[in-house]
Amino acid sequence: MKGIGGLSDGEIAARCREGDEAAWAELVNRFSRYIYAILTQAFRLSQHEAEDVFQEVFSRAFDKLDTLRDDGAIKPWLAQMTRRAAIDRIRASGREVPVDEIPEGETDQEFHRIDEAMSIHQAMEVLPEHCHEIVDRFFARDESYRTIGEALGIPSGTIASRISRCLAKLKEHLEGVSGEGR
Amino acid sequence: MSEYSERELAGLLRTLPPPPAHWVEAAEQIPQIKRQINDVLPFLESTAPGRAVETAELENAIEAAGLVAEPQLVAELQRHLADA
Repeated sequence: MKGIGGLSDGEIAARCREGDEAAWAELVNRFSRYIYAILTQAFRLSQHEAEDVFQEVFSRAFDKLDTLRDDGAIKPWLAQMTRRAAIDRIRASGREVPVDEIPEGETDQEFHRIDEAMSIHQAMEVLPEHCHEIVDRFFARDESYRTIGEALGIPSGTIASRISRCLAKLKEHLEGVSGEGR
Repeated sequence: MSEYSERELAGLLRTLPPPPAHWVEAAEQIPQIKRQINDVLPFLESTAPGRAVETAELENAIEAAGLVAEPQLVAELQRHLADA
């Protein structure tokens, strides 16, 4: 039987609707970076505003899960909800909403980049645990070699080469996925 | 999926830093908070749509329900009433 982390996005959404709180925690963890990136990078909300809207998005998602027609579409559904909530927040603050702050789905460059980053982030799940951890700490969490070395109990002098090997594995995996589609 | 250089992969990985841990913890608590809201609503004088409710009134209702007026519960209750 698959652990909750091994379930698809759609399976997680279905379990959340049934009231499974562990599935809800997984959904929050799975999409928290995505929503955070949309709020702070695509819409450039301040940390304070982003925190409010972040909670609002998850609260609304929890309330409206019954209205999600296709569980597999939870990611674009959350993205749309996040976009609307961010625009509402900007308007409520009395600020103008510049055209370039209203991403139009896939056509918007920043939005597309965040979607692409999310796909890469999900692809990292196939890497061995130590790879996932070291790559995430270095790139996404911006930790130094020293901090990573101390946290993981490995010599900091070996971290650069470990990262390079892990990135090569990720690249190889992505090329394999790409090749399967040809 | 396109072919990426290691440099491009690194750039994309940097695009998704984690939000502060307490934001995630608060979002994980939403199911429990929603249950608490159901306990508090009977203690509010009115939940008419659009009625402005003072924070003090919310805190009183939360305490009358035997709960602690934590900021997340107050905020979630305000959101619930605004959306009602």
